[in-house]
Amino acid sequence: MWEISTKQWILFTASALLSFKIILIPAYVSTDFEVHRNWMAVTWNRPLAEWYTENTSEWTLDYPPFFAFFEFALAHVAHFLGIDGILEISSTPKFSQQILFFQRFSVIFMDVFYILACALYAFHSPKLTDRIPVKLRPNARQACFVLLAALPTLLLCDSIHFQYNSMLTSLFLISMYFVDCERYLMAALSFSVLLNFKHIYVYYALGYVFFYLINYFRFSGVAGFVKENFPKALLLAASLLFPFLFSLLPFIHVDGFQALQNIAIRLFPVSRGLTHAFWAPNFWALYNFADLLLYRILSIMEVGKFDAPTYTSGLVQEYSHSVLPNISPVGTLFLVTAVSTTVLFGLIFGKGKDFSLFAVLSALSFFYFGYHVHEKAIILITVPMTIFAIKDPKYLRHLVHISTISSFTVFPLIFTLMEIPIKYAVAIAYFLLLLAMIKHFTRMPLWDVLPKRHVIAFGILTIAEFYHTFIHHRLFSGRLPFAPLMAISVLNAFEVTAFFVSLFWNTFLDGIIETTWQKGACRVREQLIRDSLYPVQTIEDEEDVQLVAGVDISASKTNPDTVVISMSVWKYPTCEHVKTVADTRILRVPYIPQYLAIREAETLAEFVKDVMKRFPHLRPDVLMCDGFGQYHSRDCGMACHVGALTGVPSIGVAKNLTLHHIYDNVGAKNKLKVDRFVDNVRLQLKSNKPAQSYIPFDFVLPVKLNIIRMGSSMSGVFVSAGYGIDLELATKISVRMLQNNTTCEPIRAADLSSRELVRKHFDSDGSKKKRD
Amino acid sequence: MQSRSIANLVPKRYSFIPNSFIPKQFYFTTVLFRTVPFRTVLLRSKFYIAAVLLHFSSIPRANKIDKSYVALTSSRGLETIAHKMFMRVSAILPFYLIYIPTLVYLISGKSVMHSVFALFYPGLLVIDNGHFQYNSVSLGLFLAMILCLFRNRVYLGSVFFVAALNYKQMELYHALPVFVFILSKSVNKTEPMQSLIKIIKIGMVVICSFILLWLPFIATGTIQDVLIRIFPFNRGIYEDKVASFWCAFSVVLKRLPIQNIQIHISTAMVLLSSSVSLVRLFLKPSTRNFKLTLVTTSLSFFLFSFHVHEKTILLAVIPAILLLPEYPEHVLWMLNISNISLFDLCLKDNSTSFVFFFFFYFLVSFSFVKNSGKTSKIHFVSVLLGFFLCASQLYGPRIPRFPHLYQLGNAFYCCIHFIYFLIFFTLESFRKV
Repeated sequence: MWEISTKQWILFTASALLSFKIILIPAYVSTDFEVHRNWMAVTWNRPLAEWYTENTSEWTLDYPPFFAFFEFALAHVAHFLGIDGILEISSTPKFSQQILFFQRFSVIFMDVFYILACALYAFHSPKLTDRIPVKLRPNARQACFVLLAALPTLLLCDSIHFQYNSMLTSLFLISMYFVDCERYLMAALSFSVLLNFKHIYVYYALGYVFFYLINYFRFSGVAGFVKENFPKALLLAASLLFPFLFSLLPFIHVDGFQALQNIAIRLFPVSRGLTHAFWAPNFWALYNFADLLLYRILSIMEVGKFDAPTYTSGLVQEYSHSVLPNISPVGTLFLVTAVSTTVLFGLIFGKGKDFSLFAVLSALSFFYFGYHVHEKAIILITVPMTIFAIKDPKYLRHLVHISTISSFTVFPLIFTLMEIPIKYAVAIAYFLLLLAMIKHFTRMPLWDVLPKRHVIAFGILTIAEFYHTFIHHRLFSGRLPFAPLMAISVLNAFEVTAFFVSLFWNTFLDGIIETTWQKGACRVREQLIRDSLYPVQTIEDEEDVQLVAGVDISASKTNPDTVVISMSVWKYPTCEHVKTVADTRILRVPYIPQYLAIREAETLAEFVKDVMKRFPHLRPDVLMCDGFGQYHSRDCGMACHVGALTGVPSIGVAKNLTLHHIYDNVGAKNKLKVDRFVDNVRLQLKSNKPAQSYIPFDFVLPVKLNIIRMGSSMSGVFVSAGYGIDLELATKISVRMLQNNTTCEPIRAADLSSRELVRKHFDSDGSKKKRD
Repeated sequence: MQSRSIANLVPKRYSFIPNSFIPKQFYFTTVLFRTVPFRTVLLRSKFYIAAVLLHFSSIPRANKIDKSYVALTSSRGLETIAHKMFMRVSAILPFYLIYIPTLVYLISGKSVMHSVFALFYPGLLVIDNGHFQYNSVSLGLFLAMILCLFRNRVYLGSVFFVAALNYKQMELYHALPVFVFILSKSVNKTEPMQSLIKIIKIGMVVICSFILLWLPFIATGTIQDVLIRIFPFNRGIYEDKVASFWCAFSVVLKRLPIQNIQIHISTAMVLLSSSVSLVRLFLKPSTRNFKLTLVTTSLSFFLFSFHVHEKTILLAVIPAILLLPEYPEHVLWMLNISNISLFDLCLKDNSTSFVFFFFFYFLVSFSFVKNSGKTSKIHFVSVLLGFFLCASQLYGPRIPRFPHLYQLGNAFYCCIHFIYFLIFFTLESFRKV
């Protein structure tokens, strides 16, 4: 469409975002605005020793030292610009146009760094596009850049609510970039710097630990283990401790170890409740909700006496549960560690999982079970999730899910009337942007990333949000202010839970449980197919056949999960081409030997159904699949599955003869006999055309396969009946459609078109998937 | 000004409103151009009529929501947040309902970037959503008219134009080229009788729709009051420091003894400067010539006519946007200069940070022009100098003897550019394609 270079992508995106943020300057600011102003004043007016003890204002400095240094530097800039009014310590908030502009511009200035960090990661990370088809790689990089730079949660939190999250996220992106470059020490160093800016990033710590365990250290043998890894460990420890040295030594120097204690008290305040004023959508939101429900029910039933809950007051305070047991901070820490260790330990044994997944799972466990979690912390999940979904497109629907949920989660942060439309517009715009970008680099149909369940969930959340903003205060005129917030929080918590479960399920899919489950499900389905329990419009006579369609599937070389499916419809018996339809899909299930149908059949069938819905006049009477039908170790090949799932009679037309299940059947002794039989067939077909124009494979009875043509090796045209058709008719149709080519025309056309599209969209040379 | 719009009942300058509404539109448009099917869907439905009805019914709607919004006199200066919200939304809706779909439809073709530049044009956003006006309605109707004329639906087109003209009398700037274009299209030399009938038919349609729109005022006999409000000849030749010829050269002109006949001179100059391309349009009524003439005529009105606002530059810029595919560099240059000419307005509205918006727009547009091969350094230097003028307006040393020196400098600078564009586009209409 239009060619624009990488530099222009960066320029265009940055221009749009920065102008948008500059226009947002007069928008509403939260108390965080005064918090940051006060920190600037404290660091400017007080000596280092008093930074963490000064308490004129209630908004005391409670970020680690690097952030304090950052505020100190900002204070210098403000002083240089002559805005000294901003640097006054006062117990009441100070506000003026000058202060507003200075602080807003400091955020926007740091945003420039964030956009550059996004560009660095998106356009230079060596591992970002390994699993993307070659021709789509530039698109994926562009998508990654735009999606990261325009994250709505960051935008709402920084440019309206007022915080410096973009700056911190840029440090994390730099760390991830180093991880991708396999420069692990630099990555550890930048992560440690990040920790010294804001301690919430400890959410990622366990992810780093487990990733480094397998990727940084070497496990060659028991004997040399310590000797080999000891220097590496020392280096790693040094690069982790180096930033701490810089951040803590000045304080120790002026005030001894008392300073450390002061900092620790500020950083980890104990007198906060299990949940924040607005419950972050995690496990404890559900826990509180369950407690409230139990309290109400038991109070009404007058079973025992309980204290009324206080966690719905909307204040930050310690509280106790009414019915359920109280949760202590240590308890949550234990839970977090246990969960993330289990999950991440599982990842270690999965092969070659990317660091972004470690980061997602680590942050997710902390977010889900952590003590006093802020809703804003969901940014920590969405950032690595965006990257992970681009690295592995199988997870795109998870990305759409969590990024939409994250928008809903931060909505309650912004509640002033003038900003309400802005937050909605930002969220909707990002949602559309996300879909557009997914289309940009996968070419997939979009319903694929929007399963019905998610759409329904989004709908319910939208209704709840709408009710909260527009209807609730009219109905109750100020009473029960927390009820809709609680509803949103609990609904979000459900969705986050679903996300966690689904992520877990998909990640450990190639584990034993999932494979067994899939195999079992497949066997059940095959039994149903053998019993002919699926509805199908059977064909008994040749005259019923008017349209024959061939379907085929071609995979990208670089990522065998991205495939092009093609369906070609032909007239019967005249063998005229009608139409060929093709589309891109992603296969979610890995290949399990002997069970190809698990991987491909459902996607294929869905595609065929989709085509029949879009073009009702193209509904074929017979479907030809590249592969076997009833000639199969369990009498149920790909073609049977597709036929049963679509309700269209199907024929399996294979190009290569496989004999292993015949060998298994007849035993090793008779192997030679089988080979001799096949050789015989080949000779017969070569020498002179037999009367029937095909030879039945009657070595084993009943006959499941007819051989129409056979080349020098095992290649040829092998027809077996699929679903809802008998072998004789299937062979008759196949022979008619064969013409003079190596395989039946519809299949050949579908094959050519899918390969062509793979070549055009994915990589220069499409490769076929192996068949079972 | 807008006698039938509710804007008349409340103060016009909304400079005190945080301009946080533009961002909403702004962010939304970033993705709008990517979602392709919306424009066909929107165009197919009869959204124009719905939108026009919706807008004309805004008085009863406001009444329904809160009577205090439309109470005569006492609603002046009303400033509740809910009311601001209502006003802002009422200006945003027509932008999406009328203006955007038509513009995108007209301009879509070779490059998506053209649509991007059209949608993001800061001038309209700043005036409609920052300063507060309802230009997107009249401009949207005007664009709908162009769309109809391009598709040879002359009657519908003239109805749209009458609607636009009656929404905002500034559309008179476009009246001449529209008239000439329709006339020239209808005239068929071989069949004079038929062309006469066609012209009469079109005239009937125009008159009927006029009467229909003015019916309430005819019935109450208040036409004269309305006309006096609409054409304020007693207001002077220009308002504030605007980049028109009269203002930019006022240093010289005010020493000449022409004050009494100024109105005649200005009319003559408008007609003279636009006549060249109008004649050309009559002889060769191609779509390109039509667009070019729309630009040149409205530019001559802007430069030479009586009582000009800085906002009126929109009327020249919007048809120029339609020429983006043909003259990307000159059009983008003109858009950037028009942004600079609007800076004074932003300054008065206390929303100077818009200059960043202008600047980023300039960066992106220049990068686009540079990429497409044809580029001249003058474009870059001239716009950059314009931004320098804006900066000096903000931070330059104050000279007590000339309090409006910088404003006048800006106006003069932009005026020279507009004269150049006028000449350039006039000459272009003679070039064979």
